[in-house]
Amino acid sequence: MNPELKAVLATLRAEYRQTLPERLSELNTALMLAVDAPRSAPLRAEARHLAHKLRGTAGSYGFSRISQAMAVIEDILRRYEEESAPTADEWSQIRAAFTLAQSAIDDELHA
Amino acid sequence: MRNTEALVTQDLLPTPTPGTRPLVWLLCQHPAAPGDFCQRALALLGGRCELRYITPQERSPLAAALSAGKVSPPDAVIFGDLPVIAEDPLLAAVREIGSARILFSARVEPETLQHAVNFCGLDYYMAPPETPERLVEKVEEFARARARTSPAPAHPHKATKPGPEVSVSLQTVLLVDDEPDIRRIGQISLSAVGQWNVLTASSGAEAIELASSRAPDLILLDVMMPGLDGLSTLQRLRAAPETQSIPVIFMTAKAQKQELSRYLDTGAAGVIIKPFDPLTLPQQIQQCLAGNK
Repeated sequence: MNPELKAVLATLRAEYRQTLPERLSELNTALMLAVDAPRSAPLRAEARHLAHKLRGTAGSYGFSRISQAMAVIEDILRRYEEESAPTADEWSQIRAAFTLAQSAIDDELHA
Repeated sequence: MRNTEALVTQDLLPTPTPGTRPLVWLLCQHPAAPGDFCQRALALLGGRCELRYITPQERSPLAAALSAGKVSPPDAVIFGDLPVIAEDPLLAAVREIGSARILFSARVEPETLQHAVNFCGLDYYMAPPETPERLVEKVEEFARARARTSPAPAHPHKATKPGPEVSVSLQTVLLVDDEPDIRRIGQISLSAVGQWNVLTASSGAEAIELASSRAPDLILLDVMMPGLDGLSTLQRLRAAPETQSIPVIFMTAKAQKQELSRYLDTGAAGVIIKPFDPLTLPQQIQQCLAGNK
């Protein structure tokens, strides 16, 4: 790879990495609100939207573990765009995926 | 190595004959200060290009001379100051003649710079991190592109446009995504790896406006955007005569099979799944344009 391009991409990645904790915190809040209001489709939609954005951006910046975790969250929430809510088991899967993303960020920040 | 003063003096000599070194015009308020980025770039360019420094006072008369065909049009123009760029008479003349690629290099906010690129008719901008070598490389690339398309059309962006089924060397790609992070890394990928000029838009509405005014060779269109989404944007592009033939490739993080078929049924040249690898995105695009959707 062109060393100059490599340096540019490394800089972009490092800058993006710094924003990840805040993004994940935002998603965490949205998920908690969605759990607390199981009949609220808009709250689920908001959480899904945040997961969708992270899925695309994190992966494009090379954070594939985070992207994969977001895919799990988005795909589950997308099944419940109307009134019904995810099952308890599905919320557990969402929580597990979120925890994986959090671990990935911790690993990255301490790498 | 020649210093800036020497370059400035020498480059006010008559323009060279076509076919020799690329002719580059440099427009900025003041010649670069010794030791800084611009000075180093000038020194590098001076060895490979016929450089002409244009003073602010020269711009209007030179614009008139260019429009009247009294001076040889440049291969590339480098702008080094933003404040006056939108009203610059020489910029307007260069765009009208359509012979040169226009490059802007400055340390300003990327969003401001992007606005300049999109709405002032610039072909490329350089923002930090950057190197003088990169500027030289870009100018030479512009010159080569001009040589390939010679004789220059009146409006290069409206010259031969590739159909979706043809793999061609693109010149300008419009990247549409509401996510600034995707626009950022996508732009780097398309310009540095793909070697294309890149326009960006953050919404469907902005994309339609830019596609109409700048006629890119390809539109890379995010599906899921607030307001006008990708599918609605494509419908509107297809409804307008000036944009109906521009190939469109969708980008989406939704990868379900039935959705992919739906996107392709709209007449898109392909679908690229996000996340993408910035190092291979241009290759994916070429594969889509070659018919491998």
